[in-house]
Amino acid sequence: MITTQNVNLRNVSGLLRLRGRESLFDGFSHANLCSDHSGDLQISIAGKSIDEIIYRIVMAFYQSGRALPLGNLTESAKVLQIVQEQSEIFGEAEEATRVLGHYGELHEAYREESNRRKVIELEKSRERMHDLINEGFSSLVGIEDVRAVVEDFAAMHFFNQVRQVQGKKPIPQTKHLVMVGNPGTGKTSVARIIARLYHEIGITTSSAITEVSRSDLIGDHIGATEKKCKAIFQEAQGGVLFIDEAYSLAVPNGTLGTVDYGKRVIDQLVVEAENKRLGLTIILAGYPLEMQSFLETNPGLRSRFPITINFADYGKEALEAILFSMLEEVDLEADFVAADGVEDFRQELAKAQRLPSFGNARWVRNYVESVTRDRARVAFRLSTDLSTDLGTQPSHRRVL
Amino acid sequence: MIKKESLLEEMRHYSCDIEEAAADYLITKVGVGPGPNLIELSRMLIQSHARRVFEQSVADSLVGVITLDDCIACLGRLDNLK
Repeated sequence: MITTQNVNLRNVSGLLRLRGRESLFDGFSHANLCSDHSGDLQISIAGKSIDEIIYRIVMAFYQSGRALPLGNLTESAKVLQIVQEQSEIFGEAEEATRVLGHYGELHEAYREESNRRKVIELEKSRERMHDLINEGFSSLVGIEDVRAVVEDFAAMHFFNQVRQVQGKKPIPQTKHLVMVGNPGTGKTSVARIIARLYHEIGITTSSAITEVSRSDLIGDHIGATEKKCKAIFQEAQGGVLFIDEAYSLAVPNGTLGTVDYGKRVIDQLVVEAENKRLGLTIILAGYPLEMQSFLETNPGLRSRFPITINFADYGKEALEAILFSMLEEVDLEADFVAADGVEDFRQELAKAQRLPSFGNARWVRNYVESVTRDRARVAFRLSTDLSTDLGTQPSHRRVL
Repeated sequence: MIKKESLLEEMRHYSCDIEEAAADYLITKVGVGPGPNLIELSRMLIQSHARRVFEQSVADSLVGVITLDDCIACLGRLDNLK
């Protein structure tokens, strides 16, 4: 039950919130519109719409010379619009013009203040986005292309915030990506960083990344593939779906007769990439040549994944930088340098790079793990004097 | 080949104003030989504009007009795709 005591009629804000709920006023004959309870601005509300009541209040406030208690720009805009409309209905345009002129100044002041605040908010938002991107990529080497793509999406997100201030609709962006590169070039690591960054920046609603490969998507009987795919797309909604070695979806099933389940996944991928393009980011990853062939297997794939990031093989300097970054993580950098490990690393790297299966950063990780194991082996020897030898024993290389 | 009117119409669809001279320049450049389709071009142009907005002062951003600089940046992006 609404009474005049708990319906706030002292200012227009309360009434604005009650627009469209006129039935709440059924049965009331009048209400005190002022806070002082003196009764000097009473108005009959029986049979009147909220808009008319608001109109009468504004006129009464104007005539009494009081300041209209409006909370913000949105409220003042609504009230001025109501005054305009109601004055036309009641044929009081002339008087309303004076009122609109008077309170219009207030509205403009609100608008200026509001815009000023929005610009400050936008500046903060943009600064935060730049900081997040800098921080997100600070520990990665040779990822200029990736960074440029993330900056583009951040820019679009920011641009849409600007458009919102301008009263324009946001421009939707498909965020699906293709990542191509040899093993160990950082595709999975970067996908995880992108998932986190997109969420922190506000581009996605979730920081979750769902990492799947062919076996997660393909079922072993008719109907199972569709069910698995549906569940995975559902789970990934709002975040990032990372399909590793996506080209393997195009490899026909050799053992399951004539049913090509991989093709069914691709068909569904095309549909979901389109239907969920605003709420889901799909990243397809794989080796360069295989991915190129894969994208040609379905005419709809290429257009739904308009952005391709190429992950080049790391050069020697970049791999050394990665090495030291990894050694630092396990606190072995000083030991490694003291034991002339760098020279050993260079020799091993030169041999490994000649192999077609060279794993870039993954090879470095394996190398660091082997160094760590050697370090542990030295410490484990009974002959090792833990008080003196531990910090000086060389870290022998391992064959990788 | 993309017509200027089509580009302006596409930009209007997104409530993006583009300077007349900038549109002329862009159309002249992409009109020669095989180029992007209208959707690709619009996407690149908006992205280029957004990138500039992301880098410049917010007060200037609120003006929100696609300029010659945006069009030049857009052509650079298209070149990178080739």
